[in-house]
Amino acid sequence: MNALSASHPHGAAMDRPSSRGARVEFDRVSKDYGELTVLHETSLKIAPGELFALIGPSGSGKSTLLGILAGFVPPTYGAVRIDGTNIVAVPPYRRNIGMVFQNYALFPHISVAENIGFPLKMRGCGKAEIGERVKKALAMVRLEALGERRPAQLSGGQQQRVALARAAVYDPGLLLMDEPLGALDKNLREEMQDEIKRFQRAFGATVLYVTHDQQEAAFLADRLAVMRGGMLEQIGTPRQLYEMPCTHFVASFLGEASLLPVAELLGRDGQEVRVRTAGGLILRALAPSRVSERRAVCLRPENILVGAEARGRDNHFLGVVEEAVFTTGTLRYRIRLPGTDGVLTVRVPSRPGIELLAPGASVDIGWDASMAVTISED
Amino acid sequence: MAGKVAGASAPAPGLAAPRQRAAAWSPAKGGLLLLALPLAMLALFFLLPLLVVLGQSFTAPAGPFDSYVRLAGDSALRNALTYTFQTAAIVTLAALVLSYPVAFLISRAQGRWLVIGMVFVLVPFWTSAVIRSYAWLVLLQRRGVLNEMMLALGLIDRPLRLTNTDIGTHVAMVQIMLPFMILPLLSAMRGIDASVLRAAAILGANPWRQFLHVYLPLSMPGVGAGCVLVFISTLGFYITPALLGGSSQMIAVAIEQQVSRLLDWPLASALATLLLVLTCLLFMLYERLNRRLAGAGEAR
Repeated sequence: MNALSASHPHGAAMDRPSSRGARVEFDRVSKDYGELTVLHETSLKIAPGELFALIGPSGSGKSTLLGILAGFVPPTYGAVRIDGTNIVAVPPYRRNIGMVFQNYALFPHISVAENIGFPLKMRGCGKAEIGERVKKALAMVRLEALGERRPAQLSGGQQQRVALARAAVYDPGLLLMDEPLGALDKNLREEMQDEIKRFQRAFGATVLYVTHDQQEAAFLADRLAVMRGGMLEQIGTPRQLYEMPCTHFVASFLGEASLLPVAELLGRDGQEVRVRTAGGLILRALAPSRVSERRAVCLRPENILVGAEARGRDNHFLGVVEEAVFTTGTLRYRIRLPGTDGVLTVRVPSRPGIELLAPGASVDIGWDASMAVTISED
Repeated sequence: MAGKVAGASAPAPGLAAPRQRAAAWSPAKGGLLLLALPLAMLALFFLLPLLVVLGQSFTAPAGPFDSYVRLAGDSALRNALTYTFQTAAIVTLAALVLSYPVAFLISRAQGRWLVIGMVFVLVPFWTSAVIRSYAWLVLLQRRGVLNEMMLALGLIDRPLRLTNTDIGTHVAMVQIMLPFMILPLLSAMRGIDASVLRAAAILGANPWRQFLHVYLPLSMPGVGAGCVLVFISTLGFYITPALLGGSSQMIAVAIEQQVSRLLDWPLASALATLLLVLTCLLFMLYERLNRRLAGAGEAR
């Protein structure tokens, strides 16, 4: 790690103190392709050393935002600042940003060690220095023995680690990751998530991480932004976004949610509101001040209590079990509410002795007002 | 064949099963049948004539190896051989230099521009070399299009001698060979992943270094294939040097001369054999080099 955080004296533009990550600021940035706007005016600040994730479906603009920061996509309007300097006019090769690509983009014609040494070579480092720093970088990603191989001879996970080492070996203050784990299978992906998290903590760089996998983003990110239709829909910590989604889109993009449409606002009491749902239920729920329209009540499956625990809660109903499934660690129910509001998804931790309810059974369900949150329409 | 073996080794399932199996079509059998006709064609019209030529080269009246001895002693023929290889080298190099940027541009083109680019490469490719050689004759001759144009523009006072010179032959040969260079280059270039170049850029390589350290090495398979194709094809050029050539002879022209004017079939056969052997040697060298380069990347 020492070698990686040692600053090097080559090139004024590339040389920056690297004890901490870079500060990134998108200032009213947008991107049009002719008539088509792929990124609406977007402002975003990322703190030094922060791991910030952009999530959203494909075409939501997250790759455009990343491309603008990397310098591959010139923004139509706006400024992008790294440590206060607008870099819109700076070509990618002078931005001193590290990047891990979705398909790794390793150079197939040179060895793993040469791949990792490439950015150092471009910075005019001497052979001896390159050799030493490549060796340390290989050790850091635990590929010491494979330096002489070609990328094609490595497994997907190994290639991923080479890409990481190559992006970090020159100690950039900012690291971009474009769906870096997209091509790996599930087990390997989880292992690499741990590795990336450890790596980022040790390395101290600011990371902008693009993914469409919400679990990955929630696990890795300090903060994340959900993107949709070329706009930032909501920004916050993973927990904030999960527990206090502003919109239907965010609520359903991050984890599971049952939504009950609101027909009428009955009253307000501090942070809480009383609403009547379209199906005729009277509910109490949280009303975050950020949300102006209260169009639906969002319920996370693990926040709904079942059976004896449900009685005496702020919201308490008698439901009918429609579907009951055991999945590892969890009992998963679909429970029909009284009235016409439909079906709630409920998850209860499965412990020995807790019986799986049978479909057709009537059951108490309930939740406190603080367990439900009102959100805007879409 | 596989069907029979399986049927015979099946112990109990009655008699019907092997019979059914035997009737089944086997790709191995069918493949051989499909190959029979082209193989027969090749044997009859390619291998046999080649063997005849080889045999004929040993039938000189003064002894079986006389043709080869004379070939070694004849400075004109040796010169023709040197000139042929020299020409092939020049044409290959010129074609490479001209083709690389063209292939690069076409490889980057999309939609309509891609079609237009390909048409410009393929239409000459599909046009007979004889026709193109004549076209060059029309363009380059004393009162040809090029000379007339330059005279009219006042660039020159007297027509330039462009035909029956090395330069005229080389220009025509390069033009005929361009598609053979462009197409392999194009196929290599279109296979280069754009994200690899982006990676080079973000890692600190300016456009020139992106080209030098990443693009050029990744396009080398196309360069190799194109050069071999053009070099070997140029070795056998006949019609273009025959029409446009100067005092120095290409080997194919020399062979034709031995056959039709001097009626020295054994010597012509010896020349042809020598050309074939040298071409094969070159190709083997290329293959070995190629395998060594690729082997460094694929060896497990």
